[in-house]
Amino acid sequence: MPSRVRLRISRFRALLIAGLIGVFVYMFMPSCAFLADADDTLCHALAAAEAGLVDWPDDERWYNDPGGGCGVFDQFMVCPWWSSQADRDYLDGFGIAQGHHWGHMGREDMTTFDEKTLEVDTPLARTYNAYSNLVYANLEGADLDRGHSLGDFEYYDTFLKWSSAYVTQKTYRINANCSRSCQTVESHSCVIANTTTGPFRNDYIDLYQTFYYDIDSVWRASTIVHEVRHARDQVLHSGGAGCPRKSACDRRWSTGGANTYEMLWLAAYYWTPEDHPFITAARRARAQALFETLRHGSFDDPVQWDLASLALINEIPEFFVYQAACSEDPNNPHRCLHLAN
Amino acid sequence: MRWLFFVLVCVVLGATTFRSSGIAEAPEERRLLTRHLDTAMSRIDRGPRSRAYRESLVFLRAHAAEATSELGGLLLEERGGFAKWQATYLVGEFGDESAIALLRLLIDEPLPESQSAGEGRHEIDLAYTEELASRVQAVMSTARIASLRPDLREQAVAELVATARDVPLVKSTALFELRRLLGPDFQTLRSYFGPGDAKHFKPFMPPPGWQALLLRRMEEHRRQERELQEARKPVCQAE
Repeated sequence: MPSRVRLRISRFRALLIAGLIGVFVYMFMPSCAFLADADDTLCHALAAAEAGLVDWPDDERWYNDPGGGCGVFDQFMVCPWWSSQADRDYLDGFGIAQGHHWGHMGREDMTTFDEKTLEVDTPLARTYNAYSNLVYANLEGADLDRGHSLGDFEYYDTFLKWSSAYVTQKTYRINANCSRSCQTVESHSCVIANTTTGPFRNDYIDLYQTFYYDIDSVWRASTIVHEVRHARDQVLHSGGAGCPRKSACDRRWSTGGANTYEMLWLAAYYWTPEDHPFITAARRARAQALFETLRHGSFDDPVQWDLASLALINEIPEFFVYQAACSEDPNNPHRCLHLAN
Repeated sequence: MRWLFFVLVCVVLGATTFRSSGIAEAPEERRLLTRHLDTAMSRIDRGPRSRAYRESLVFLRAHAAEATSELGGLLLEERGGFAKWQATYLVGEFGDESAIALLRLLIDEPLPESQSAGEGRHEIDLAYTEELASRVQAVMSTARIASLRPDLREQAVAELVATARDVPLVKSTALFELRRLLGPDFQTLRSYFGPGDAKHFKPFMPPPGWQALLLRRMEEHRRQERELQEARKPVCQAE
């Protein structure tokens, strides 16, 4: 055999070997398409259900501390919806009733809980706990009529009441999604929720596995307020990846974006009476810490407003709503002055 | 014969390792400490409403230095997670002077780089967010120690002032906590800060046109809260 032919064969062999090694490595890579649902433990749990019984994920995958977990705000004795069908119906009214896939996500066994930690473990129950923070933070709870006009501040006379109605009226559908939408299997950089919106369509919000199992219920609640701002209002992120949250950055506070609304709600949650029957000291502290993470991590321009400057948000909510929403009112730019960075 | 010697060496080494792991002879005190820390961690939401939490807190306050040291690894070495925030919160509930020092170490730790995706997908770096939340909580917990331990108040206040001056990331939290802690005396700290921080020393007031509404609402809310809270107590205060 001529030496040139022999050389071609050996090059072909080398390429073949390199290709095989590539395929081998690819097969064992996280999120590999050949390994269906490799990184979706919730989807796996649903697929592996026997006789309708699902072994719900009992902890967050990327926390290695057995002593702690974000489910401590999910212990069932502080969930008023647990004992009341009327309260559950009220929570469903936020868009869960219109949502897809909830039937698989705990509709049948929503009141099951982990006997050791006493934490509710179905995605639906954990979503109810998120909404509970929106509903029971205002003292009227499920008795609040969310159907009044959002401009009726004589009725919605605290920001917490207003935000409960805002979340109801400004979104159409909340879907359950069992996927874990992270960079890689063990990554801690994940999508919590995603909103799809646009003209001439019903908006919807998808909640991912991270929403139920990787973050606590106060963070879940503020995430809902955040997503709802993207929904019917269609206010998208305006930042240019100039802050730690990168593509989820807003340019500045005064654009009244999703991060501003999330912070307003966290501030309102914080500024409730200390002897509040639902908001415990730990939840209040958590809200304060989350407020600061957004303040420092989600705007391109530094935010001048702090928790102290929002102390009256539950007394005169219209003042704060009008200021925060100033970007929607280009005819009255003076309203923006108070919130200008 | 050689294989018999090898097996013997393995057995001796195995036995030595097992003994030195200390599993069989953990001191009772330490086991108690771990149990109370676990109890307090798992019941922070119910807090003082839970008897088990109250009992654990009494124990942890009596053994504050040991409990602080036990949580030191989690606070300073572990990657950000809810449990890290949780432990930082708890340190504020039982902490002593060693806790104030530990919290300051946490505040001074450099933040890792955020790994959020640059474009398209709105991924949030949860570990980064929790790292930041833990540092903010460390400031809040220092203030909590000051309010629970009058004997440590001066030390904690000095630490908060130093934090506000030295660590821009948590400056507003430190000043906010100082204002809550000191009340009207907060104004005496003005000389420690520059003109750029003047806004922290002026209480926020809405424009004059809103004042009448503000007063009316405050009165209304006080009345409503009294009525509604009494009605809701049995629903929400289990254990």
